[in-house]
Amino acid sequence: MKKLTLEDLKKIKEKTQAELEMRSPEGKDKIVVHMGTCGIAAGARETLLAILDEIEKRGLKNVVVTQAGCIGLCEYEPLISVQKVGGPKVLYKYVTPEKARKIIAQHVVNGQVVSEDVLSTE
Amino acid sequence: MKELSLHILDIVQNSIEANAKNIYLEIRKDLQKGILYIIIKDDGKGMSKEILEEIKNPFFTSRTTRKVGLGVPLFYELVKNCGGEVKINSEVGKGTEIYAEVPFLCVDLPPMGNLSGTILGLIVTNPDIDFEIKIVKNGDEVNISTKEIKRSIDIPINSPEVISFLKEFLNENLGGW
Ligand SMILES: Nc1ncnc2c1ncn2[C@@H]1O[C@H](COP(=O)(O)OP(=O)(O)OP(=O)(O)O)[C@@H](O)[C@H]1O
Ligand SMILES: [Mg+2]
Repeated sequence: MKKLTLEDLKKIKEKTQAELEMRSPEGKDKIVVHMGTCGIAAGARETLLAILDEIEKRGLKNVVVTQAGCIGLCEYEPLISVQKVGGPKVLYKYVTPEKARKIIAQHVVNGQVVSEDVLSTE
Repeated sequence: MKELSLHILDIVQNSIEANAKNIYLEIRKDLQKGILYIIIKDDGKGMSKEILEEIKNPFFTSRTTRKVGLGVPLFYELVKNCGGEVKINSEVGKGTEIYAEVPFLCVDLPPMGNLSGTILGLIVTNPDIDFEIKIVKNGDEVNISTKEIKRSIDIPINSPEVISFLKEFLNENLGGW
């Protein structure tokens, strides 16, 4: 039987304890991936995995990714929204994994909205 | 959908949308019987008798943004076309249990696909939900309790370091699906 062992978990704990104090106090940038049936059918899982991969590779500690259901805009799926701390909420359409990586690099990391892929801004 | 794991993701998604705090997912392949069992239990808002009756109908949804619900009917179709069975028990205010058994050699059954990525995505994008996951194949059993993981680490379960760790763990242990 395979299980995450306490040893495994201790390892993460040790590795990360030192960095705890360095985490940003002023809130986090938010990414929401829409995961209703039509989002999933259009490839939302792959989009999400590309986003998680970028977060992991770039060590983006100040970004949280969550998921939400369908918002009735199936024709634009996969949809994600990005809201930087203090910034507007930007909804992106047709977000393939490649576009997701670009949005992370350009918008999340550098603060420049990827205008050509924007569906709406709140 | 091209992968069974996408259907599973979609069905678990319903539990998340029903505001479940605890979700149990079991995927068990019984080689002797040739049956794949998929069980999903949640403690979300549950369904009334009316909704339960309608749920297999591809035009029923309780959502207001759109008039069509597709997730459950697609899953039903798939399992039924392979001669399998889906049972749904649900109680308002208590939760829902979906139980499916399907012959896995059925030609119409899509491959499992990226199960490890599916589970990774579910766990790290729903840090407040406690997932209890059990995967059994060839007598090999993998158990994951996110409550236990969260209790043993001081950082959020969606931190880059934990994502990295979970990804490796899931790929190693569920790679073969
Ligand atoms: N686990 C659950 N708990 C409570 N209600 C559920 C659950 N699963 C399904 N339902 C109910 O059944 C309805 C139909 O579900 P289904 O997945 O088919 O469509 P949907 O979620 O409404 O839309 P879609 O999946 O197409 O994005 C839901 O709207 C919800 O009311
Ligand atoms: Mg659904």
